[in-house]
Parts: sequence; structure tokens; C-alpha cells
Amino acid sequence: MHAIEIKNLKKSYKNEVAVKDMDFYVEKGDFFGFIGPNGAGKTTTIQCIMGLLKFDGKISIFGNDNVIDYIEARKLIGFSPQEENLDPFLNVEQALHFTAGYYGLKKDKIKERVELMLKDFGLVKHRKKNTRALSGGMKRRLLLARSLVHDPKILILDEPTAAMDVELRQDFWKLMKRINGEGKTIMLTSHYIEEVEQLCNTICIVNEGKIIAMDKKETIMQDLSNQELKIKTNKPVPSDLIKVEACKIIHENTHTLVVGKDIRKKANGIIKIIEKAGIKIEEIDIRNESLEKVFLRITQTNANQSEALKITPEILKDKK
Amino acid sequence: MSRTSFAYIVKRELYRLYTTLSQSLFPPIISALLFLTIFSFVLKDKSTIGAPFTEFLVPGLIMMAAINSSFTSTSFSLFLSKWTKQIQLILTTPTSYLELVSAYLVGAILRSLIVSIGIFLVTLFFVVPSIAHVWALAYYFLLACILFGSIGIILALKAETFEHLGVVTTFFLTPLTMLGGVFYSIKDLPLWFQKITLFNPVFYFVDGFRYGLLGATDGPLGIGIAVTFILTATTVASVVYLMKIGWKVKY
Ligand SMILES: Nc1ncnc2c1ncn2[C@@H]1O[C@H](COP(=O)(O)OP(=O)(O)O)[C@@H](O)[C@H]1O
Ligand SMILES: [Mg+2]
Repeated sequence: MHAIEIKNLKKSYKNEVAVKDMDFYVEKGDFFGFIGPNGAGKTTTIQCIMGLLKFDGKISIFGNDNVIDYIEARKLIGFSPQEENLDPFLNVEQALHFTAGYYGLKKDKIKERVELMLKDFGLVKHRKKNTRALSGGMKRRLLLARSLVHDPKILILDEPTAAMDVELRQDFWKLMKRINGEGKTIMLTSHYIEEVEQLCNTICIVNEGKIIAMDKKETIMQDLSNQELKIKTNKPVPSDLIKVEACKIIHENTHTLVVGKDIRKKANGIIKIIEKAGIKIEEIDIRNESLEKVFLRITQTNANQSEALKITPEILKDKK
Repeated sequence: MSRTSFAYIVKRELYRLYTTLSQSLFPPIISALLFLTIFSFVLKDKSTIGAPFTEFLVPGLIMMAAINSSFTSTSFSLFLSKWTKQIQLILTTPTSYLELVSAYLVGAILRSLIVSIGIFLVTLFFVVPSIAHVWALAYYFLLACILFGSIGIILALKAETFEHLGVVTTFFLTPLTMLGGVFYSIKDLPLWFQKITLFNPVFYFVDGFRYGLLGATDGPLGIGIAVTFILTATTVASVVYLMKIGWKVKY
């Protein structure tokens, strides 16, 4: 049984289609990255899963329909929304306490869970602070603690690290990895692609309300990513020397960049051609595009076919 | 059904009441005190439906405060909940719509009860009332809280700004209570005005509650029971339905 299963999800606001026809599932125990540019429909999809919007289609949570068996479905999910919704009348401790109560936990259990969350999320010192008095990063932490207070099987996080500084974000990543390691299913949206690349096992890329790619991270990277071959030579390579099918070639002084699929296989041939022309190769570097570049390229491809490859001379110089 | 969810929403309503006690408890008690002080001097010797005016006034003042408190309790709480997106938290927890509505209504009843007891204690300085029919006191009090609490919920769902709530209080609730026979017997009114008053639901609540204390009524008792019951039942049913379909909450 899948943790989350979404069938033919469609959602329109008054004069705008936000989700066109989505069909996907999240496996139990998976760390599922849900990414896409602003306005792609991520939050809308998540709000449908949480039952905060009306929608067409069917969503089930471990087999519980989220409209018909909403009580059962909701018990299984912890949710941290994109926009904070902390209770302005309560302090940190109370916010956790009451939420645990809304989830139907027993009194003793509530006490135990609240203490654990305060400790896990470094909130012990702030326990008596009103939620309004917290910094942006602290609010995020509390939202996260709140989403876990009832020990749910699934965690849904909509841009959880938006207001966090680098250090806090790293703590958060560690914590997320631990929670996922403990067997919880996590669905995460983020606009830090690096974050998704680091954390997630499965990646789903959405654009304009549709899924444009979804697979295991490795497969996505293999299938979608281009490779880059950077060659530094002792003198400039003439621009008509190398011709590789379906690849983009950029020359700048003594740097040459070849971008495309299967560059690894083609590299030998390219090198031979250059050496044959009497040019000495000083450095070679082959690497996969980062997920970020894949992401930018395919979401942009989707929006604007002519800009399939976006390469600027700056890329040539960036060396690690 | 998770009974504790209900309990914790009520608990939170009470906590909110506690943190805003100076705004929610004292104003109605002080205004009741002022009304009593003024009228007990001015109209000391006036007798209305067979009772001294001060005694006539007490049940009306309590009912007026209960109606206002119930309406304010649910409407402000739910509106704030919408405003701060708290409602979205509640709606993602395993809370049934029935539970949610009842929790808000119980919050309204408890708040009104606290305010009413406060007023009752203050009135003891002026009159020591007798209690004629306990059932009528309980029935009208509870139904008033439930009806006006439910109206508060509907308006909170509908309202887009705080001003909308204020407008309703000023142009709807206050006139209805002021013209609902709190300060006078409708028998002192011209006949056409008496007839209009019979269409004012507040009148039945005030009159019925007064019957509970004084044992005398201004209008027909049976009709009062029927009107208040039907009105309350249909309003509560609408509220549960609106919550269920997510009216103005789920788009
Ligand atoms: N409450 C709303 N009313 C009308 N349109 C909305 C609303 N929320 C989102 N949208 C629109 O739906 C689309 C998807 O938005 P959203 O789901 O928030 O995207 P994302 O989370 O991927 O940035 C956007 O075009 C946005 O303008
Ligand atoms: Mg979003």
C-alpha cells in the first residue's frame, strides 16, 4: 500500500487551472522531493492532500480516502504549511500541547511528546515564549515540531527551510534524514534544489500543474542530465575543429566546453581530434549537470522550447 | 470519534477567554451595573408586568449579555482563526465538523455563563430575585447561546474583515436586542409595534428567560418555545452543513 496515492487530481481556482491532471504515489518510507518553479502547483497539490481545498480526483493516505475517511487519513499525516499558522494566543509549549490534543493524544502521551519535541528541536529555552515573539527560523522549527508531535507516519513539508539561515538548514537536513531513517515517509517541497538533491530518494518535477519528470533521483539524473566536458588547452581550439552530434560546443580562448548526452563515450574521440590538430591538452574535466541545472533546463524547456540549452561563457571559468 | 480534539478546542477557547478577560468579562458586567443604577433611581416605582422595574430589568440584562457574549465568542474566535490561518491547523487534524461546531458553541455557552453569573452577582446589590421556573431559565439560556453562537460562526465564515463583524453587531444585533423588550414591556408599545416585535427572535428569548425568573410573560409562551427551538435547530443544522462543505474556508 502506498503512503500517498493521487489519482487524476485536478484543481482550478476561480479563473486559473492550478493542477491539470496529476497522477502519482509516494512509497512508504520514501523521501519524496516535489519540486517546480513558483506557481507550478506544489502548494495546491499539498493542500488537496491535506483536505484544505476542494478538488477533482482521488487521494488516499495508506488506503484511506482523504475525503470519506478523513479522520483516519489525517491522523497519519503531520503537516508544516508554507505560510506559518501558529496560534498567536499560545506560547511554544502550549502550541505543541494543544496540537497534540487536537490530534487526540492522551494526557500522559501529550506531556511526553511535547517534552521530546522541545528537546529535539532545540526549543527548550524558548518554551515560554509567545509564538509571535519567535524569529522566522524559530517559527519554522516550531512548525516542524508541531507537525511531528503526534508521531505521524507521513510528514508533508511545504518549503520548510524558506526562512532558515545556512546553519539552521544544515541542522534541519540532519534531522530530516534521521526521521526518514526511522521509517517515516517524507514529502518535501523546496526551492533549494540542492536540498532536494541531498535529501530525497525520489524526485518529482512539476511545472504548470503537470508532472514533467518523476523517478528515483539517480535515474532522473541519468536520464535527464547532460554531461559537461571541459578542456583546457595550450592554445585556442579553432571553432570549426570539433563537431559532435546533438551537443553544444563553446569556445573561449583556451577553454572548450562540450555539453550534451553521453559525453563520456564521446570524450575520447574529441580529445583525439584536438591532439591531432597539434594542440596540447592541459586539463580535462567531465561531470554531470547538477540537479539544479537539470531542473532549470527542463522547466525552461517546457516554457520556452527555443532555450533548451542555456550556457553562458561564465560556466567555462567556474572550476572547483 | 476523537473526543479529546473537542475537549482541547474548548480548552483553547477558555484559555483565550482567560487571556482577554478584561475585554470579554468586565464590559458587559459594568454596562449592566450602569443600567441597573440608572433605572433603579429613575424608574424605582414603575411596575412592569406585575414586577418592580428593577426586577423586570434583570433577566433582560442577563439575556442581552448572553446573546452578545455568545455571538462575540464564536464570531471573533473563528474570524481570528481564519485570519491567523489557525483554522487550517484544526482542519488538518482529525476533528470532525460536528466536533468543531460543538466546541465553538460550548465555548460560547461557557463564556456567556461566566458573564451572566457575573451580572447576576452584581444585580444582588439591587434586588434579590426569585426563581420561578428553572427549566425555562436553562432552556432559554442554552438556546440563546447556541443560536447566537451559531449566527456568530456563520458571520465569521462570511466576513472578510473585522469591520464586517462590527457592522453586523451595530446594525443587526444591537437593534434587535434593544427592541427585544429588554427595557420595556411590549404591552407599553403601540399595537403595530407590538406586532413587529413578534418577528424579533430576541424578544422570545428575553421574554422566556424573564418567565423563568419572574414567572410572568409578556408574550405567548408556547409560541416562544416553538419559535426559539425551530430557529435554533435550523441555524445549527446550517452551520454544521456549511462547515462540512467548507463554505468560505475551502475553495
Ligand atoms: N488561493 C488562490 N486563488 C487563486 N489562485 C491561486 C490561489 N493559490 C494559488 N493560486 C494559483 O495557482 C497556481 C499554483 O500555485 P501554488 O500551488 O501556490 O504553486 P507553488 O506552490 O508551486 O508555487 C499559481 O498560478 C497561483 O497563482
Ligand atoms: Mg508553494
